[in-house]
Amino acid sequence: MLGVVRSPMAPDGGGEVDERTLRSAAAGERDASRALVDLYQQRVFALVSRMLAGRGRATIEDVAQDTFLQVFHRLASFAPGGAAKLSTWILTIAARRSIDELRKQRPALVADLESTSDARGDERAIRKELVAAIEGALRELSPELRAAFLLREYHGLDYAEIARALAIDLGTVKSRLSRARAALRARLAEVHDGG
Amino acid sequence: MADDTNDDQLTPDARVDQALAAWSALTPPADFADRVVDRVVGARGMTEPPRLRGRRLAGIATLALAAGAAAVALWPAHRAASGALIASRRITERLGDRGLAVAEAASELTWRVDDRGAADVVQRAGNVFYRVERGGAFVVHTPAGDVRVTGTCFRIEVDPMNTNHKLLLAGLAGAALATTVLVTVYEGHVVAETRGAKTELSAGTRATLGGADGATVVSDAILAVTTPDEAHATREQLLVRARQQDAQLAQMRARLAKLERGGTSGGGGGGGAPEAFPAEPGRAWNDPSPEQLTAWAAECHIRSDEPSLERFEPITAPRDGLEASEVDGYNAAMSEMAKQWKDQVRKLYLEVTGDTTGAETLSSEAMKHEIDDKSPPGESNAVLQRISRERAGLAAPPTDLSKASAVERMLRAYVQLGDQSEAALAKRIGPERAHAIRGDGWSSRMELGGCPRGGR
Repeated sequence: MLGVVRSPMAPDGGGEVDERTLRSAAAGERDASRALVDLYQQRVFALVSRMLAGRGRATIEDVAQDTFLQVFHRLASFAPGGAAKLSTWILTIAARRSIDELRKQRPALVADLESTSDARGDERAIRKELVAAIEGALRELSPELRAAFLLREYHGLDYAEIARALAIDLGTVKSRLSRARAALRARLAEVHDGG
Repeated sequence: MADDTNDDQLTPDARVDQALAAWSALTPPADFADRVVDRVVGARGMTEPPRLRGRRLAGIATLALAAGAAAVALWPAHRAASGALIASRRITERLGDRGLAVAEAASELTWRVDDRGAADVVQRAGNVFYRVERGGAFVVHTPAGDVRVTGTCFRIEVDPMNTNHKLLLAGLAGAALATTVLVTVYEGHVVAETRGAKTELSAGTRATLGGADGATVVSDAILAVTTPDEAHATREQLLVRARQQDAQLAQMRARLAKLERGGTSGGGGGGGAPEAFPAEPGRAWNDPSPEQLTAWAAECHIRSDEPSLERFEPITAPRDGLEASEVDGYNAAMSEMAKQWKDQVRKLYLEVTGDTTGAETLSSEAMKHEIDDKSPPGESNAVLQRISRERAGLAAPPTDLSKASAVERMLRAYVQLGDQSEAALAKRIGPERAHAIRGDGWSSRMELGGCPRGGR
């Protein structure tokens, strides 16, 4: 029986697979592998699609898939009782893979945000302005700090986890994220004042 | 989510939170988990094959060389594959496990397929038909944009003079001034990406990529006028043509099936990988006979193996024939070799490009490709020719490589990695054990071949 331990406190509605499922997935059992992907795919897509905003769905899917292939490749080396939760470990891999993709400096594609939104009319226009403000602010960050910002804001990782995951100095994480949020506040003020 | 809150009442931080909430993320497609699991199961089948002769036998990347082709296979590992070809006549080439390319004369291709099956193909020129089985990313980069597929049949024509002529016929004189690419989709669909725009092309579509204004030009109407015969064809004529295309596709499928059947019969390899160049009867794969070496010299062909140094990660338990007491020695030897190889590639990359940032951030695989890309046309083939003749005893090896090109120094260093790794291991666990561990070839094996054009 495959099980999932849900954590209602998880910021992205997540939870973790139980140890038995983890072991089975590491051993190559199909159902367990499927359960693992089912549980974490939303979080991986959330991170990768925001990291690679503007790169196109095909690229995002490729990177998400690549993330899971790396996860399974290394799953046997993951220590369930270790410092990192499996979700943090997977998101770390997703972040690093996204950073690699960003460094390829391929031309950005038309973002297909429209397809992900069910908003209408004015609300859609507001949403687009807000999203443009976030994307603009994030574009000014290095890939690592963009990942740090997203891991903090959307996935609830603490500063130490982020520093460890991305091999960035803890003090740098704190100061840069603070500045990133300040920059975002300023951009949103511009949007508000200009609107 | 954006809500009806009056924005004037929000604090700056609340505005940030509102904006963050408004930023939707993409959700995975319904079949995403199945696709991943299929790939994982497939990959495990490849990377953990049944043990043969008690040692690791990872997949073997091979390149079937067609007479008349100038082809070089570079840097495969496990079932990864990569290479390049300049076709002097029609050549059918496997691109990893999922792809087949039929390249017409004057086509120029390079490709790289990683050990997870994702393929990056660069088509610089010519007319190439592709058949790609479903799987991960498969991207063909052309001068006018990228064509991304998951599984389909399609053709790409990169022929500036010919394409421009067609566009002029279509009245697109502006577009004719720039490099353009013609894409024909026979089955499934492809996504064309060019200059920030992407367009899905379905079966039966023919489209141009690129153009002087940078826009993607994709439509059936252009097809109709770019090929006058088709513009005036009757329905019956179009049906006949469709049947002819179906017949061509059937031939392609039959050819593919034949290739697949033929490719799995070789011995000496592991994991069921197709092996176009099996071991000779009674000899180890990495010990070709003098007669074989002489024959290969005529084809500018060499065989090489190395212990997947670019992907080396220390092991924690004995495997691949190692004893527990040998694990530390193995890790030390392979770490040393991996570092030495990366340092060599980095140095050559810097020499060729001067790009210090890239030297710090790029993988050695990427740097190798850059070094190869920047070498003069045919240089790699000329190097292979020299090495193959030296191995056959037909020429003396150079005593001084200081004036050799970067790609020559790189290739020569690469093909020595197998022996050097064995020597490094021998220092830790003794020559007999090191030789036994290597067996008839390290895990990453390759065939490199192809004479310079007109240089056989």
